[in-house]
Parts: sequence; structure tokens; C-alpha cells
Amino acid sequence: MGSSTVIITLIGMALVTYLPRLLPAWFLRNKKLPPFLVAWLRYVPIAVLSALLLPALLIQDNGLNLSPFNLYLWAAIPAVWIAWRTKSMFGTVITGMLLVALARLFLS
Amino acid sequence: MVILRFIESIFQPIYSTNCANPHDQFSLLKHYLSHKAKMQVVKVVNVINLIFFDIIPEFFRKASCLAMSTNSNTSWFKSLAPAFPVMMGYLPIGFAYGVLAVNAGLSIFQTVLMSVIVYAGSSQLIAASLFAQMVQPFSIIATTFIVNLRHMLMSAALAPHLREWRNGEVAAFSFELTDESFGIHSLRFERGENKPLASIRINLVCQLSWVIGSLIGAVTGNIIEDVRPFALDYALPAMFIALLVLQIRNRRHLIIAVLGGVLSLVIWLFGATQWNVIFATIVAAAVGAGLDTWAHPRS
Repeated sequence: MGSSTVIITLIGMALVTYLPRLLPAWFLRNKKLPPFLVAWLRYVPIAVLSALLLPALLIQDNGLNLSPFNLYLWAAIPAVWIAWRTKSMFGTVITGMLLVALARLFLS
Repeated sequence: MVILRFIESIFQPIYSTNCANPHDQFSLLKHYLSHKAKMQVVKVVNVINLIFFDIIPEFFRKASCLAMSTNSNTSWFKSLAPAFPVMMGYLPIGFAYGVLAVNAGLSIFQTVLMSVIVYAGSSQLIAASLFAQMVQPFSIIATTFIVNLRHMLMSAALAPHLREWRNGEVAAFSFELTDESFGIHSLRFERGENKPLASIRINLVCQLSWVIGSLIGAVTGNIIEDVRPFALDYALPAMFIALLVLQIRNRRHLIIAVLGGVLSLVIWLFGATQWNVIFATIVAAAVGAGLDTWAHPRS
């Protein structure tokens, strides 16, 4: 692929990435929305974070992994507990990373 | 010299008490030194005392006073705190992308350019592998569009909080809207922290770490590859756990979270690996909104 073709492809990618990020915020922010849509938008963060998270924890190498060696999954359980009890994002991140690092250290 | 002599006179009593103690190591040492050398040692000790017990503590005290009084300094630091986990996660993933993209045949400039103008993690990794397979430009752009379409939902969800913002601020903010920055802002905005400049600043440092990560990856190529021993690859999943848990405040929230996660997983397992997040979010949030609107409006 030629250099200019690559650059044009990159610009195309930038456009199709930017427009979905921009347009809803741009057009919805000053609108008076129907109550159902407002309620729906309020649930989007919880739904989308969960929809991103669960596959990230359970799917490895293109398949479901529920084995004892799926560290992502097992480290998530204490991490959830820490997040719930401490309400601390940093504490959760450090706990999760520490557990995964230690598990790798001892399992390898 | 006047200052030094003054200091010496201050420390003289301390020195003489040390000297009086025969068990003191310092006085044993001094026993072997001539009077002139003794005076040298005293001077050095005095200067060390001055530096470590006066100048440095004083400097830190002044510096902390200054940081407390000048509001902008501390708020800068405080406002960036939510971005730290994202930066920790973006550096190694950006690095992995940089390595992959350069090995796929992109130049260092093109690799970094993609991180600057596209700035979307998973789609950049996919695009790098598509470039390696010599896929047609149109297919690469179409794939990028589908992979990044989920940001539409996030942009819509944040829209009600951007009412007071100027157009330029909305344009700049949404340019850097990623899964991770959305997670941070959805929590911040709900707490009423939706100042435009602070929000854009968080996004900027996140993208900066992504760009720096991909630059390092692109330059070093494949010298270093494995970040797994440090578990940096778990920074973002752990952050998502925290962001999700912090937003769940009642039973209905929990139900919607479980529904969204399970739906996304099931749709993925059925093979719609690019649509699972969008579809699961639309359905789960609609169920939540339906419950709020028609079942028990008070909850």
C-alpha cells in the first residue's frame, strides 16, 4: 500500500471514529428529551461498562475461559469486593494488578 | 564565611556534647584526627546538618505551603488523579499497538499519526492487523466504523451533562471520548464535576500517554514485548470493575449491569463479536428505562 493511500485510510478512519463520538453529544445536549430516553441514557453507563467488562474477563484467546488459570476472572472477585467496600478506584486497580502479578509470579 | 561561622557557633554545643561521650563513635573517630582535621570534620558535619535538617525541610515546607495557597497547582494535580489508572493501562497497550503497527508495515509517523487522529484502542489494533494483511482501505475504514460505533451510545449518555459547554469544548472533548475516558466522565459528571476544561485536560493526558506508548512501541519495534510480569494489562479491566461498582447504587442498577454483561457475553459467543457491546447496551438500558418508567417509578 502506498504512503498516501495509508494516510488517506487513516483520515477516513479518523472521520468514521470522530463522527459517532461527536454527533450524539452535539445534537442531544440542548434538546428536551422524552422521559423514557432520559431514563435510557441514565442506564447506558452501567450497561455499557458491564457489557465491555464481562467479555474482557471471561473471554481469552477467542473462547470462554472459566478455568482456574483465568487470572482476569479470579482477580476480579477480590477487586469487586475492594471497590464495593472502599469506593476507591486506585485501591481497586492496585489490588487487581498486585493479585495478577503475584499469581503470575507463583504460577510460572 | 560569616554565615558559616555563625552556623558553626550554633552547632558548637552539640559538637561538644558528642565529644564528651566516650562511647560515641563520632568521638572515637575524632580521637585519631589532628586538631585542624577535627575542625574540617566539624565544618562538613555542620554543612550536612544545615542541608539535611534545615534547608531541605524548609524547602519542602515552603513548597507545600505554596502548593496549598496557589489553588491552580493543587487542582491541576487533583483533577488529573482519575486519569492515572487510564495512563497506566494506555502506555503498555499503546506500546503493543506501536510494535504491531510497525511490524505490519506502517512507518513510525503513520503509526503515531493513527494514535493522534483516530485514538481508539481496539480498532487501532485491529486496523494494524488488517494493514498487515493488505486489506483494501475501504474495508479497513468500514471495520473501524463498526468497531467504534459503540461510542455513539457513550456520547449520547454524556450529552445531558454538556448543556452549558461551548461548541468548541464539546468538539474537543468528544474527539477524545474512549471507553476508558467515558467510564471516568460518566462517574465524574454524575457527581456534578463537569467543568469543561478539567474534563478536556483529563482526556488530553490520557491520549498523551496513548501516543507516547505507541511512539515508544513504534521506535523500539519488537525489542521489548512482554509487559505481563508487571500486570499492567490488568490496569484497565480493574479500572472498569471500580467504575462499574461505583455506579451501582441500588438493586435495579445491579440487575441492569448483570443483564448487560451476560447479554454482551452471549451475543459474543454467538459470533457477533463486533456488535455485542452495542446491542447488549441498548437492550439492557432499555429494560432499565422501562422498569423506571412503568414498573415502579420510585426506586
